[in-house]
Amino acid sequence: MNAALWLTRATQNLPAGVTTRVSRDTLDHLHDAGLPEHADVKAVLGDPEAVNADLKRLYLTVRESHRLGMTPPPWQGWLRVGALLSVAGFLLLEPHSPLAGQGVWSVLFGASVLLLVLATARLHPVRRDRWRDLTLSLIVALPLLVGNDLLAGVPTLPLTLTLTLLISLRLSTHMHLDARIRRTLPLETA
Amino acid sequence: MNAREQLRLLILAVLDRQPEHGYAIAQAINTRSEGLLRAREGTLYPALHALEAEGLIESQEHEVAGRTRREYRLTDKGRAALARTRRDWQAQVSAVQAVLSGGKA
Repeated sequence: MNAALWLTRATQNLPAGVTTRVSRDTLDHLHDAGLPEHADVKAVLGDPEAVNADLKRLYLTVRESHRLGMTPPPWQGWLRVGALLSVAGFLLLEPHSPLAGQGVWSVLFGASVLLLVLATARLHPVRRDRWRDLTLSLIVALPLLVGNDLLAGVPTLPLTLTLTLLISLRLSTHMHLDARIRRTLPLETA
Repeated sequence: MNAREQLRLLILAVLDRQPEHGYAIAQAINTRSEGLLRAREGTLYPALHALEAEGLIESQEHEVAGRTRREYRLTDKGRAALARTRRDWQAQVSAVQAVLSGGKA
């Protein structure tokens, strides 16, 4: 496998700035090692697919960069607003509703909290907005997860654990994405 | 410590002596370990990029003999991380050694 083919595979689906930097680093390395570009470089450079996977952990892919550059469709915003209003509605109506405390009420309420958390899955590409949305979700969801008697009638432990896991996963995913954006942008704007 | 963490430690240790470019880092790891450790050059650069993104190393391009070379150097944050990782590594080695020698280390 020559250098050009190795680089094509190692930088597959990565944006232009990242590809340029990796190609330059690698070709400099081969030059220093006295290895011609047409030689078989796999023994020296290793498996290009493994390197590609490493690079994708560090940088955004072309598709992700493109998606982040797009304005999210309005329905995503409305979905979040709807879920938030539904949770707020349950909280406001709880003292007055004859259904409060019954199984169906608890299930619907749990479902609306779940919808709110899931709706934040489609967060804004801008970091400030992402943090705002996540903070909002956490502020709404956390008090509901710790011992609210609205959840009487449904087994609260599995629900609490599931929602906590979902929130933690979203937080972790977005922190990881954020780090990849911060690494990719300087190379793309250089 | 897995292979990726080990490579990070080795890179930081090499750069602790002096700034180097990528090929020299790979060579130093190979030479200092007497050929026992060999950084696959393909995995070296993602590791260098990650360390740079974390602010543990920094890089700068230089013109050398008509060619542009990228040289990596350790930052203060990287030096502190190296000291910490060295301590952890020594503790692990001592622990394994103690077990291997039957607790007579």
